[in-house]
Amino acid sequence: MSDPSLRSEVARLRLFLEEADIPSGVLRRDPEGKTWLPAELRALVAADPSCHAELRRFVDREIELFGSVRQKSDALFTDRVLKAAAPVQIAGAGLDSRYRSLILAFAYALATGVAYLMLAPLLGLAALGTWTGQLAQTVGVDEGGNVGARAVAVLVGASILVIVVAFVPWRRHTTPPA
Amino acid sequence: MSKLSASALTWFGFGRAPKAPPLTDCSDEDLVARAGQREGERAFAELLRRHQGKVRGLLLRLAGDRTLADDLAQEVFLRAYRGLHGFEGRARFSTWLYRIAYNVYLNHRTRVRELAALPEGFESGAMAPETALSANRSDLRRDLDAAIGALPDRYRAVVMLYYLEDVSYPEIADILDLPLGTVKTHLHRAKRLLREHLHGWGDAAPGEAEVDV
Repeated sequence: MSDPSLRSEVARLRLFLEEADIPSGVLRRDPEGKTWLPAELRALVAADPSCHAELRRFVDREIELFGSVRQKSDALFTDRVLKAAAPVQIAGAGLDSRYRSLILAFAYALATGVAYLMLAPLLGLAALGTWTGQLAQTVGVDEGGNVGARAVAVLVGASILVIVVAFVPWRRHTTPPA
Repeated sequence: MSKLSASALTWFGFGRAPKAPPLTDCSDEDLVARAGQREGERAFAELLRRHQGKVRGLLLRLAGDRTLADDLAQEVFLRAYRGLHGFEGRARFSTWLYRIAYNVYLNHRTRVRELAALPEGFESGAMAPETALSANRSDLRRDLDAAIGALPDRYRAVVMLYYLEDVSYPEIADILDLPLGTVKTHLHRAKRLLREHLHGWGDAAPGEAEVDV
């Protein structure tokens, strides 16, 4: 390395190697740089032992660095973290999403029923009896306007509402909310 | 039976649930979603298995002590577990995890500085090889450990994230909260410092030793 021209050639190679982003897989497959070194530098490496040694040092060092920063998966560590995580609650995940949807759906159904009862007289809509009567007739259980049939009608209406609310696509839990 | 009614019955707990893909075939994002549901522990364990090597490796390089790095890594995964619902999916899960890891490390460093008790033997005892290495590789590993240990903190974090290999420059910038240009500059200087440390200052080309650290 005493010859200044040799030093400058090595320095040129170093300059390229410092700027290059070469994945570890490529370095392992092609440590001689046949596929990733420019032709000019490849010729330099082939002709000059100092440059060849520099390239080898670079490749060895890079492969070692890539390899050394990753630790092997450790079953004991996994076990330790899982044990520590056992009493930890995931924020917002205390309730299964479908039970959460069911509770919400029942709440919506109840709120809708109450709202109807309150607003129907004010808006001049038909009374509850008429509404349930119509529904009972629609589902074919109305036999002379008896109370039982109307209760069934109310139950059917609420169930439909629950299912619609619980199953609308945008209520299904797929990814954690922000 | 229509598809809708079948899924409704399944949803209510009747019928046969559609077979979920094996956890090993799931993407990180799917595992995050499954970790927040029933039997989420297995999904979280798979995430842990996938990412612990890199998180522990990163923290080992940053903290310089294996036991400490594992303690910090445990804290990282516990924080991640608690905050799984905070994962918005805007970045990759691994990037999100590395950001938590870096913050955990910074918090630790602040605590240590407050106590004015920096760990001793950072460079010498940091990186015992995990398996038996050849003499040459062992020497190289030891030299690399020393060279990495000698890097300033800001360079070490950049260069280690780079060598994790699955983190892009913009992601490194995001994790470290640095401008992209600074990340590239730090990386370039860190690589040069590593080489200089490994080759010795006398071996560097003229003018190359005058690096602004």
